[in-house]
Amino acid sequence: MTKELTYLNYLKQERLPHQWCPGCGNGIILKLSCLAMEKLNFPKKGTVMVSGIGCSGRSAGFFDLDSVHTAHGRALPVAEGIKLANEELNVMIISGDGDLFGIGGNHLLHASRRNTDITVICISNAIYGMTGGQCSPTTEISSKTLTTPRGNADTPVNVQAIVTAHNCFYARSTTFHFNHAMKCIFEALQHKGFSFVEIKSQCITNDGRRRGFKNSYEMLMSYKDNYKINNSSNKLEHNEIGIIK
Amino acid sequence: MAKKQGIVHINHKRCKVCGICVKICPVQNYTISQNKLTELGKCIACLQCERYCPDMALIIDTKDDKKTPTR
Repeated sequence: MTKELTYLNYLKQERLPHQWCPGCGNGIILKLSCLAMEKLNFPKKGTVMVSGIGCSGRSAGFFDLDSVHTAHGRALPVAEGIKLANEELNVMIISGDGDLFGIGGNHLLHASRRNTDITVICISNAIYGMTGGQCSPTTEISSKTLTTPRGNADTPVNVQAIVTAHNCFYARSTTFHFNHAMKCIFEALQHKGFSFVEIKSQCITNDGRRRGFKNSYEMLMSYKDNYKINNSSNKLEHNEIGIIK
Repeated sequence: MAKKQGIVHINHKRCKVCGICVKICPVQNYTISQNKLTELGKCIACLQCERYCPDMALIIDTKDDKKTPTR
């Protein structure tokens, strides 16, 4: 008899397989958020999923919950509005780095200032993946993309400083650190107030191949080599993952 | 103590042959032949492939009656 994966009940299984590229990390994050919701026994009727535009914006459609696919960059104000209209709902956002920091950057600033009780899961793949691999606000310095063929000249945006400046929950993890990422989402969902989880994810099709990775497994393993877990400090360095409350 | 053994269920409708499971498996249980994922029956039920499969295409059962952890 086949074991049943109960966390898949949060997904519309008839819509699987999803349309993301082979080896994309978005599927792992979809699974992670389902596992965290299952652990907390979130009811299907009282949970709302909001997403913006981009590869990751498609994820709201896969959840068997009430979900909104909003305009570009406007996932945060829509989620805040839903939460203010009915405070009993659990409101979650799954969106990408280009959507949250690039187009909706100003909304992130003010959402963290207002401190509404919503949870943001940011799939940070450091690229505008859907449009072909342009340089995004989180692209690391000297990284090759479509628009920066000689290496990115600018420093990436410091999201940690923006979110923690207003004493909000901030957590950073990667798709390789599966249990750590699940713990981050689990604690973010329990936290009262604005909570932000940034999960580094691999994009092999438009990002990794320009940077010299052969497959998505190599990108997963690069997270293992480059990131260290930090449990004690109140500030994370650029190569550390952890939780700041 | 007997060696733990697993039964692999591959959902070929969902699998996109990205190759993460082929590389992450500690006992080289998977191969890709003719653009299709096949398994060789050496599974030790470590659940690494089930955890990192982005398409939710793999389900691993352990052969004994003990309940397997979901992940």
